[in-house]
Amino acid sequence: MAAKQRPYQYYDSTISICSTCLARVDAKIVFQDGCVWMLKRCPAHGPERVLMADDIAYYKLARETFIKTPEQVIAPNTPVRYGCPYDCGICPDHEQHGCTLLIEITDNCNLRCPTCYAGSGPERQTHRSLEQIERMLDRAVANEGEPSIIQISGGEPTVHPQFFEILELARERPMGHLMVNTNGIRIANEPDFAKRLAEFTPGLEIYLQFDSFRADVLKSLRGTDLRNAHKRAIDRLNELGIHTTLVATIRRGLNDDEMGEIIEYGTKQPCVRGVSFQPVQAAGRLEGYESGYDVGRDRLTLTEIRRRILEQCPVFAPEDLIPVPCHPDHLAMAYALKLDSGLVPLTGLVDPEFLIEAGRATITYEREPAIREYFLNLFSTHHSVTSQTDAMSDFLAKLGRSPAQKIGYENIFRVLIVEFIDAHGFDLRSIRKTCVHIVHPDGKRVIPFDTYNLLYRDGLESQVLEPLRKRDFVPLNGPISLARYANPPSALP
Amino acid sequence: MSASSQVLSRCCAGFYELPVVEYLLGQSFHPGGPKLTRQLASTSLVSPNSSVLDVACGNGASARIIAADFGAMVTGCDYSAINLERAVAASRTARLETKTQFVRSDAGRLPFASGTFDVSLCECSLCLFDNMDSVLEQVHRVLKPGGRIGISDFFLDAPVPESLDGLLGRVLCVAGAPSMAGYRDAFVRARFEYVRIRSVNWTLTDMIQRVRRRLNVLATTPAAATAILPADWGDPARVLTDLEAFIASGGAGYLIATARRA
Repeated sequence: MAAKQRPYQYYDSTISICSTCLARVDAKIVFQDGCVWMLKRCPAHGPERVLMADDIAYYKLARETFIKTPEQVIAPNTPVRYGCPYDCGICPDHEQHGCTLLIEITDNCNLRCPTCYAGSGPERQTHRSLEQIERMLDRAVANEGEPSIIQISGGEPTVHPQFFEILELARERPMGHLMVNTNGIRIANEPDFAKRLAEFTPGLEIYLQFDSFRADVLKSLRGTDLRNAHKRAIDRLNELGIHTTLVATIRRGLNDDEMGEIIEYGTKQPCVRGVSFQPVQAAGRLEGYESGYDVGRDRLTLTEIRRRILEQCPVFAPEDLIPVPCHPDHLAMAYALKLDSGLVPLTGLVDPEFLIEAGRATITYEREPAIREYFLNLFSTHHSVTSQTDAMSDFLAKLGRSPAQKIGYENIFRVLIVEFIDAHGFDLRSIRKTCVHIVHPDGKRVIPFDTYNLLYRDGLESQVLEPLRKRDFVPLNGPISLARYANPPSALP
Repeated sequence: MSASSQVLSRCCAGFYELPVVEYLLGQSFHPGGPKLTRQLASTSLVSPNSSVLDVACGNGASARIIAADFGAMVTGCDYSAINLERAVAASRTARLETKTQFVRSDAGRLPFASGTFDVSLCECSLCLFDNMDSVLEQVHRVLKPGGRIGISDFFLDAPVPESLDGLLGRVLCVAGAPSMAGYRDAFVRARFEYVRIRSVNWTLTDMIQRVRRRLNVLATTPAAATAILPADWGDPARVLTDLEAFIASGGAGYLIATARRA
C-alpha cells in the first residue's frame, strides 16, 4: 500500500494574524500545485488558506538568495512589549530602517476612491498643522539622520492650504529626496500650481497616480474618469521637466491587463522615470468591491503581477525583474536603459550569467564583493532619479560594460512592484523587513505602511489594537534582538 | 519513421548505449539536470495556469518536474514508444497522472491543433533534429499567440579542435550543433519575436566535474576500467582539460533560448 502523504510540500513555519480579528496565529508555508500557500488557524475564526505566490522558484529565490544585511534606524521609538505587530514602531525587533518615509499632511482628498487604504475623502477636513508636520519631519530625521526619501502624502497632499510652506519645511531638513504623492488633479488644472511645484526641482519628484487608460476602470478605482486629467498633468510635467514616477494600483480582473501599456506609455514621456505597480492592499475602505472583498477572488500577489508584466511587456525577461534585496518577497524591480537603439533591460548590458546564476546556491557576484555592493545599491528603493543614475553608472562601470552612449537620468527607466502586506498574507518573517514607513501624526513613532493601515491608522489603534493588546498576553519584557547575549558567537566551543 | 526521428535515434544510439557513457553521465544525458529544467521553465514563463508541451520528452522526467513544481498541465511528446511507456508509468507512481499526458509523435508533425499551448519546451534535442526549421514551425503553430518557446541545447561557435575528435569529445560537445547566432536565426526564420539567448555553461562545467570524479574512481580500480573503457578512449583527463579550455574560449557551450510567438 502506498505510504500516506501530505498533498503539499512543507517549507517553513511562521507567525501570521487572523484576517478577521488580527490576533497572532501559528502558520505554515507550504508548496502545492506550483503555488506557495499560507495555512493558518485562529482559535476563534477557524482555518484559512492564503495564496502567497504562484511561482515557487521565484519565491525561493527571493527568500533564500536575494538577501542582504539591512541597515537599522538610529534609535527605535517604542519598546517590545506585546510582540510583533502590536509594538509599532519602530521597535527594537524591526529588522530594517525606512527607505521611504511617508508624511501624511491631510486626510482630505479631492477624490473619493471606492478603495482607499487611508479612508481619505472630501468629507474629511483634517489638515495637519504646520507645527504637527514639523514634529513629524523631525521624527523622520531623528530616526534616519538623513532620510533617503521623504514622501509627502495624504489624503491628497496638494489640497493642503499650506502645501508649499510644507515643502519648504521639508527642504530645510537633511534628506536625500522629496517626493509628492498625488493624483495630479491640481497639476492638471492649475498651471500656476504646477509652475510653483517646478521651483522645487531638482530634488523633488512626483509620484503620480496613474492606473488605467480606460474610463470604466478609472470610475471603478477612482470614482471618476480621470483620463483628461492624466493627459493634462503629464503634458505639464513633461513641459516643466519634473521627474515623475507613474503609480498604478492594480486590481485583479480590472486593470491587470494594462501594465504593459502603462510601461510603454511611460517610456514615451520625457518626464517619466519609471512605473510602480501596487496591488490593492486589503485595508481601509474597500467598498469598491461591489460584492465585498473576497480573498480568493480579489487578492493579487507580487508574482502574479510580475508574470503579467513579463507577458505584456516582452522586452523584459524574467531575469530582468528581480527581488529587491532589502525586502525581497514584497518588492521586485527591473531597470532598463532608454538608448537610441530602444529599451534595453539591464541584463542586456551585463554578463547574462551574473543575474541568471544568482538563482544558484553560489551567487556569481559573491566572488566579487565590490560588484555585490554596487548591485545591492542599485537594486534598492532608496533612490532618487539622480542617485539611481549614479548607481547604474557605477554598477556598469564596475562590470566593465558601460554602453557606448553616455548614460544620463533621461536614459534610465525603472519598473517596481510593491506588494503591501495585508492581514491575509501577513508573515512575521517578512513584516519585520518592511522599509516603507509612515510617520505617525503624534510625531513620536514611525510605523510600517503595512501595519499602520491594519492596526494603527486613525481609530484602529484604540478600537482594534488595544483590545488585542489587552488579551491575556504574557509580557515579553524586551526585544529578541540584543546588542549582547550570554553566549557570544566568539565563544563557540 | 520520419527523417527527424531517424537522426535523433542514430545520434543517441551512438553515444548512450555504450556502458562507459552510462557510467560517466548517468542514464539521462541532459546538462544541468532538474535545476536547468526549472530555470528553463521559469525563463519561459510557465505558471500554474500554463498548458505546456515538452517536445522530445524522453521518459518524461522534465514533464513531471514541471507538473509538480510549477503546477502546470504538461503534454510530453516523443517518437519512442518505450520512452512513453516509461513516462506514463513514472507519472502514475509520482501521482501526476492528472497533470501529465504523453503522446507519441514526430516533432516535425505535431498532432495538436493550432494555438493549443502556452509554452513549448525542448531540452537538449533541437540540434539533433535535421529538420530544425520544420520543428520550430510546428512549435510556432501549436503555440497560442503570445505563447513562449524555451529550448536548452549545445552551441558550437568554432571548429572542434582535433584533440576533441575522440569519442568522449564527441559525446560532450555534439559535433554539428548550430552556433549561438544559428539558433537566433532559426527562431527568427520561424517568425518568433523577442528572441533571447543566454549561455548556461555552468551546466557543462558541472558535468565535466562529475565525469572527472567518476574517472578518478575508475583510476583506482584498474579491473573495472579495463572492462568499461573502450580501446579508442585515449587520455580522458586530457580530453576533459581540452574541452574545458574550448568552452572557456567560447568555442562551444550550452544555452537557453526563449522567444515569443507574436
